[in-house]
Amino acid sequence: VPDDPRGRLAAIADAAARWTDADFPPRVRVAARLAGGDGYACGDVDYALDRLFGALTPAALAGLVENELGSLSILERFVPRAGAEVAALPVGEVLVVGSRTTIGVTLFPALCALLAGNSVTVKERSDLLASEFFATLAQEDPALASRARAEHWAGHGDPRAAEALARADAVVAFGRPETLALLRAAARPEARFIPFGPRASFGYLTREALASAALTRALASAAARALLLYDTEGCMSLHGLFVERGASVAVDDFLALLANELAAATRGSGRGKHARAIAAFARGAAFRAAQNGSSVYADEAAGYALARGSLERPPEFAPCALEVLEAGGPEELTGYVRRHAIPLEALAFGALPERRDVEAAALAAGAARLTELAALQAPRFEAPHGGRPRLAEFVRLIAKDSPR
Amino acid sequence: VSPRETDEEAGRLDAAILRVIAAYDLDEGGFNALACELAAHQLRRNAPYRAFAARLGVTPEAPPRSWRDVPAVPAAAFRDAALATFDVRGAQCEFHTSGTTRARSGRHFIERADLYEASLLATFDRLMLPDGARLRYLNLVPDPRRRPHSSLGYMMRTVARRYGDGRDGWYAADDTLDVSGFTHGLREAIADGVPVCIAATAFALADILEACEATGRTYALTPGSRIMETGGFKGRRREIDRAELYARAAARFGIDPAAIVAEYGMTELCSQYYDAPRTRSSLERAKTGPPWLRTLVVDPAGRETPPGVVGTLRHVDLANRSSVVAVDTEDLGARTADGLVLLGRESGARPRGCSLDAEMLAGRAG
Repeated sequence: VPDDPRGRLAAIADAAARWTDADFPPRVRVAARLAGGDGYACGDVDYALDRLFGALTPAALAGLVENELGSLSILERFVPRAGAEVAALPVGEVLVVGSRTTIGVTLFPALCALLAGNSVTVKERSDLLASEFFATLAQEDPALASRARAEHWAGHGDPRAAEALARADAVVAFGRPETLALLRAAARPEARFIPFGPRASFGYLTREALASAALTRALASAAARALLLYDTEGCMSLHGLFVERGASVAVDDFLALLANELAAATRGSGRGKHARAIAAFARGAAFRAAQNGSSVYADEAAGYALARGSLERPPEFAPCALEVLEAGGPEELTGYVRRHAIPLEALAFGALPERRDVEAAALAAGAARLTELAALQAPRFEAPHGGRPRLAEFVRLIAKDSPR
Repeated sequence: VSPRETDEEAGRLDAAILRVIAAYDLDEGGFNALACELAAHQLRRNAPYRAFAARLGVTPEAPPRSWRDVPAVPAAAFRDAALATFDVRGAQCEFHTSGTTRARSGRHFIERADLYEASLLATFDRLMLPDGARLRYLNLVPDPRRRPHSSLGYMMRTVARRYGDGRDGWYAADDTLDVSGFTHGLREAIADGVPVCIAATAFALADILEACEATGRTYALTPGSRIMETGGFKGRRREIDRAELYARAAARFGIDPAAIVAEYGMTELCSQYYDAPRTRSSLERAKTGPPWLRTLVVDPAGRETPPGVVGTLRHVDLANRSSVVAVDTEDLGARTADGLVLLGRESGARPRGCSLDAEMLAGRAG
């Protein structure tokens, strides 16, 4: 029988609360590494860490358990359910492997698995964030010290990784399809395998959302933020944006407005590490624009690039670069996503609730999350992610039949 | 300009390039004059190129005065337009990019096959066959009979016809390798006492080595045998360490690692680079090419980088008479005293789990 889930929940929340302090020494060390070695913009690192740890409140953790399992009590004993009593016990050992991920991506499943009572090992190439956070967690609840480990992952040839994979009862894997296939093959056949491959997020701005100049400017600002955060590498970064025809602003005017927002947002932000990729995007876009007379925006330091996209042409993806597409209606969004086989994570709108036809198109396109553009990069911890529950995959549901 | 005048101009330019190829010599002034003349011709005759160049302030009326200023199209532009100075229905060659990193293939139309062949043969002769060897060509590259739009297959067929012993073999088809056919070809060549040239992409070479290693067999190739490796070391499946691959190949086939030569070419170019002979025994190899192919290493703003500083490669290939002479790539490199050092390819968004992987997404589409 697992120990007290309330104690684990409190320990995780208390540790996270300490990490919301930007001056907390472990956080300072991790932020320096992320901004230095990994090259993220400092503002992005702080935002990401604030988001990550600010989300892990006692209420959010309890809400997640209640959303997915009904109550916290189910993690420690049988509770009545229709037709039976049910308990949710840990699956055992959970391995979280991050081939390459954006900031803190591996930590959420690791903490969910811990909350469910499992032992967790996080293996990633840069293991500092997980190891530093687990150290804080061990201070909050020494019992968790032996249950949460962070290890460096040296790739497929890493013998310790092979051992961990062969031992794990559940494997959460982030990476490219080739990496996921290798990890799945190395895991035990009966182990739960929870893969997270590459996914993209798009925005769709309806005529109604762009009804006024003020709304339009706010959405351009939100789009710029959603594009630049994590250098467009997160699954909830903005990878493409549709603007509906017939809005108060023409798509080319919106493009110009967005370019202004991007110029302001990237000024002095030191995003030079992607300059070559951005320049390559801009050159390709400039060639296409020369053929059709459209505009391309890119700043001199190659901190961003922006161009008109085409529904027929496969999307061009590059860091801090965006194609804006004009759509006659939401069915063109669905057609585009299907035609180009884009695995869609989130679809962001100007505001919710959105028109019924737009929502239907988003579902038909395979979106796992519908949200507002301003909240695209700020998913709720209590909500599912990637079309999956966050915590329920780390428990065994045990049914005790009621007397008949 | 009338079509006849254009034909005459094209013919005159082709003749000029063929003379350069035959001489295998071109000084800075000659390169500059011919490059500018070609650019002016292409600005007049290649409408998509003209539209692009106009955005950079270069027009047929105000053509570039230095080869360094010739507007370079991004290699990706070959996917978006037919970049040709002629009616492509009359193309003698049509090559398609492999599409391994892009969703759609680019197409390179070449008006005259003899110009392309002259360029590739002259360079191959100088840099792969300085000893004048007549080799048997065992090809682990696309068979041009099955893949008529593969520039690499076309190149090796042209080479084998000109310099081979008439018994070339083709062992790659539809992404699979005919391992037993290849090893049979190796054994036959050994029995005949004929030196071979194995032409292979890095990944095909790795695959064939894996297959040979599984059987434990080694092959003592006839002295003078060599390997031409092409295609780079980074791909979707895995990355390969070049030094390790060459060491394995040398041991398996009984040749000197210096007899393994990397070729660097692109579907969008009519000319190729090879490992410079004097660097073939060193860890860091530099590339050298023919006199009619020059490369600028540029920063993201398109400015030339100082020697030793990494940038992307902008090729100016005078043999590209009927398309565009200047092509921007996403390949990284640096200029050194020994030549051009290649450093792989600039990726788009970095591959990250639970995130966008540009290459993977592009690969799925189309």
